[in-house]
Amino acid sequence: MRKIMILPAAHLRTATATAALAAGMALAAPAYAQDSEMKKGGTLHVAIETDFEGGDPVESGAAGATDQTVLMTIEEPLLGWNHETGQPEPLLATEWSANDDGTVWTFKLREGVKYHDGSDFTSEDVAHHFNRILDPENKSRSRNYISVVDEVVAVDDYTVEFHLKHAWAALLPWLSATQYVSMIPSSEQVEAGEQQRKPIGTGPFKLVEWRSGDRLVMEKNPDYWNADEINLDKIEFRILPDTQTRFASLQSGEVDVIWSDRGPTIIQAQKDPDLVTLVSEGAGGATINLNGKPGKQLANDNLRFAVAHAWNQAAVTKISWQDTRPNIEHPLGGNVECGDVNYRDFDIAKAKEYIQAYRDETGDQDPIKLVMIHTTTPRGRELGEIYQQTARAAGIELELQPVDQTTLVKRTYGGDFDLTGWRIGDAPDIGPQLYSYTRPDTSYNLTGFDDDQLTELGDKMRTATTLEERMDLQCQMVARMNERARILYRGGGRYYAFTKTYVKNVPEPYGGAVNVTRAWLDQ
Amino acid sequence: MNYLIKRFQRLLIVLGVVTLITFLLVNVLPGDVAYEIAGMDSSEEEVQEIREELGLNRPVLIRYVEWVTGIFTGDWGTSYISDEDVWEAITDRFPVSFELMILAQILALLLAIPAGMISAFRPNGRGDRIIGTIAFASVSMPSFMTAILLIYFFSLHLGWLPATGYEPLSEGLWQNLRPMILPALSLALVEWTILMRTLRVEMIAVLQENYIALARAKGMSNLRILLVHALRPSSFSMITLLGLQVARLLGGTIIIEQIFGIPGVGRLLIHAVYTRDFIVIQGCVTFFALAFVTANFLVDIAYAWLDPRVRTRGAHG
Amino acid sequence: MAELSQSSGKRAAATAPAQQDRHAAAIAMYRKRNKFGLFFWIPLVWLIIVAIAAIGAPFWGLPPADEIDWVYLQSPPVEGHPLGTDVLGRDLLSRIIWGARVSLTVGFAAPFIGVGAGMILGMIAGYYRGWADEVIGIAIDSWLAIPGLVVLLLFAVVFGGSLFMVCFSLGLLFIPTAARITRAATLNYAGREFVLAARAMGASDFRILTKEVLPNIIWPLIAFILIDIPIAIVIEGALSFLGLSVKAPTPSWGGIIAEGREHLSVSPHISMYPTIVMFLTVLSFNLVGDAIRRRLADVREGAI
Repeated sequence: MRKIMILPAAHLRTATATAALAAGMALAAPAYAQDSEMKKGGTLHVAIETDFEGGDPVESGAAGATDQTVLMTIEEPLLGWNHETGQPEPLLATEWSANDDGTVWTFKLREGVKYHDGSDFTSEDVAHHFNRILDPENKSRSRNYISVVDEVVAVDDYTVEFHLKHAWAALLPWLSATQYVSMIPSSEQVEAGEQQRKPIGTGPFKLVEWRSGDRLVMEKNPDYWNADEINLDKIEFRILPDTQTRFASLQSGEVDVIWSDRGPTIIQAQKDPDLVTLVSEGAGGATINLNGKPGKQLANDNLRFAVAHAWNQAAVTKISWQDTRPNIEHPLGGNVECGDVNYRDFDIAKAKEYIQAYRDETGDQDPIKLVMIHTTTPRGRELGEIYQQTARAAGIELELQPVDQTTLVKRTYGGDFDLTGWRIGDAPDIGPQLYSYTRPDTSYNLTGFDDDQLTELGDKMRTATTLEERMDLQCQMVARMNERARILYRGGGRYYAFTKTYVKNVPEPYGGAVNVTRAWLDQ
Repeated sequence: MNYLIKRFQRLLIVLGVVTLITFLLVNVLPGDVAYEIAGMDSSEEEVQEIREELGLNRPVLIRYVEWVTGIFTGDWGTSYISDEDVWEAITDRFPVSFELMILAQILALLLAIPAGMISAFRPNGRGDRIIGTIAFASVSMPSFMTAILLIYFFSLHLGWLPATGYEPLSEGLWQNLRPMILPALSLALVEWTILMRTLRVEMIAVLQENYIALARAKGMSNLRILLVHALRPSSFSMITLLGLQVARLLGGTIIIEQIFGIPGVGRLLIHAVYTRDFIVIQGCVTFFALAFVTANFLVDIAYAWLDPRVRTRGAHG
Repeated sequence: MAELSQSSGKRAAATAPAQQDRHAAAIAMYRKRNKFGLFFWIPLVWLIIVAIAAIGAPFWGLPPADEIDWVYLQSPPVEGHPLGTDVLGRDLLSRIIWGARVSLTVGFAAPFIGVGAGMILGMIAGYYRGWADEVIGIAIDSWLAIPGLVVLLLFAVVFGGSLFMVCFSLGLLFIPTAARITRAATLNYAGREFVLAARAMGASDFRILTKEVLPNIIWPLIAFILIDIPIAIVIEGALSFLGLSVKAPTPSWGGIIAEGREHLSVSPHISMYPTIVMFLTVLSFNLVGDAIRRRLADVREGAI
């Protein structure tokens, strides 16, 4: 018996389910409490981890926290997302409705919105943007996210229609996301091939200077359609790749906003009276993938179960994340309650039983040696070192092979590992990922899932007509996945951002991205 | 003149060898930029597609020849990751690294000159020994640890100087210099000892010269002798070394740039290595090599100009 | 730098301060310099302690360097953990001692690899001259033109994580200077009478190089190795700091420092102890090396 329980409570059934899909995602949130003391002017300094990838949705891949944070200042999506009610809100689109079977959605666009270069924002821009991503010729990496959309048609200047292959509950969450796929660039600039390095959007700030590797400087867009809400004159994004450096800069006041996923830094920042902590829950999570493809040692069920029971998620969340991330039993997000999902607890005795079963079954009496790849970062090292210890207690020897990120990706895709530190990315809907990870016939299946029950659940989930049914099937999928023990969890999604106390009106970092567009400085 | 032409030929060959070596080295790196672009949400199939699109499947040598041809036409290529022009990426960041180097060398000189003079004045005397020991202590501290301690003490504890950051010169000289002081100091604390020892050796020799004895006989004060008569003739080796250090260290500030968040070439390079953005790696290494080789060549020219014997000798080393 | 220090020794020995009793002063100075002082013996004792601790690491009854003590995570010094534990609850003393093995191995192996290879190249270039000299010269110039850290970075990423590769790639960096020193010295001796005599007597090139040239050029190279040992230890530390040296869970000093860096304000001991040990060891190598170098310079002068 599985039940879906969703927080926060919402009124409508569909809205409830949508909220579950969208809970904790990076969705644009336009509604802010208007503070009467709000002060205008000033420059906000925001530290970002990497350089901005660029503004062209086809040239760029998936937008990370940095890309989304920067992109939010320049461009806007069709819809905003109210995280309190779990409902979409008007942004560039003012009204929307669907036909009876939910396959055609019509959006009315806001009139009088101008791009930074003074040109008008029209339905042509919207249609151009989505159709360009959907065109297989362009090989956009964002295409997968919205592949349910068949085409987007500009009906008149301010009306646009989305034609779907089938009813799809995740459309509105995706249209309110802050991913490349959701943000609408200027079609002229895109066609001119300039959008990547000189992005133009309808957003509240204009990019005036981009010194790559150093900083991006944004200036207030005086012609913004909602100019009253914008308080800052300038936003400066500083690129500071090193976590410690970022935190030291925040402490000494060179920057006003940072985010971090390092436990010790978060703990230290939370204790600092000069800093404000912003937290948001997310879906997805960090994982350890077990390579159980045919021919691999871990293809054996009993051995894999043993390895799963020798894994101590709580130790990693305590030591590496310093309890700043939740222990999870499924990647659907902290707000989704699935009940019992057959999670395999850390249990050395059980692990030993399974090893015995493995030895009895195969007659293999040799010491068990497995190769684990992890990154050379402190977090990667800690992961390997902790797992090595607990696995040793169960009688499994892990050989650690630290590699850099690119090598890790290469070896994981190439199946050259027994265990690898991996992750399930946060998204408005984890369904497509569950589907592609568990099908035996796709190259996204990195761990060798080949389970009829799971494939069947996946097919049902994909074509489920109601969101409630879809979520229930996702719960059943993750339960079956846990039973098969090919993906282990090492901490769920939870995001932290920190600001100086004088920085006001910055919302929680949904999906890791920090929306600084409506911030003001109390100085 | 013959000698200089020979040196110049050597310079070109060296550049060719350097670029070829790095091109080959970079190509044996596990994984390529396609994996970086694909990220963790793709699959091997998509990686192959990206690779196809970028032309990474073509033979190494063909790509090398293309790249070299590009260089000769002034096209250093564009980054696979950011679509940035490589030449622009380097020349944007180079002044930052260069400024850091120059500041570090100035600080190193400020430490090295007085220390070297005191040491040379009474070789093996008490001052010399104390300075020698301090110098050893100074080089024995890894610069990354010095950097962390400096940030901890001067920025977080005392709050005198910013912990990180870089301001362009257009923001004002002091604004520009302030965040550079700690990183420059971290580097200078290692560099000054080498300069100091060079100066010390040379100055000990100079102080034996007759004209110094004459100056002493005339009753000139020790300080004056050291500053006015001994310092200048003793500093030739040190200055040469200084020039070469700047070129050499351009590639060696990576950790310092990382810790202090300085947007220099070192950071560009390390990021490019991690992301396998080999057009950028190639560009950076070529640029460093060019700087190094040019500095050497200029030193050669200067020597040849100063000392006619070199011009005819024509050997290297 | 080797050459410079060398000549400084020579000049200083030949020089006496301009004082009334120059000879007496010079003799006194010479004696004083010739005696190994406290700056030699104290560091030497420290190095011996570190070396014995590292070599005998398995015998001191320490907890294994990778064993997690779940009771004491990130603990300051307590009973059973005299220097406390790191964030994973591993005994810090044990990690520092095992880490010394890495540092000392790299410290000795890298300069020997580098100077060994550099010596061979330098002797070939200096003895045979001609195209061999030209090719080796170009190779060395090219090698110098690539920034050292780039070489290390590329090697670390390609071969990642083995102690041998760390020693080898670091050793490569010492080749150019060693080769240049050797070449200059070989050039100098290759024209000397005893070499010409040996050649006239029909000695093979190999014999001449090993029996006649090598004994004469070995001293500056030994001095050079002495300088390189502390440098190698520091560079290994920097590599570990970047996570590019030996693989987890093998401890190394730079690695422990890097691990402790983000806990600096809460548990400063994690970074501080390895920093102190590393600093003292590198300093000791510098001081001992310097004293030995001075002594070598004197011995050679006396012999001439």
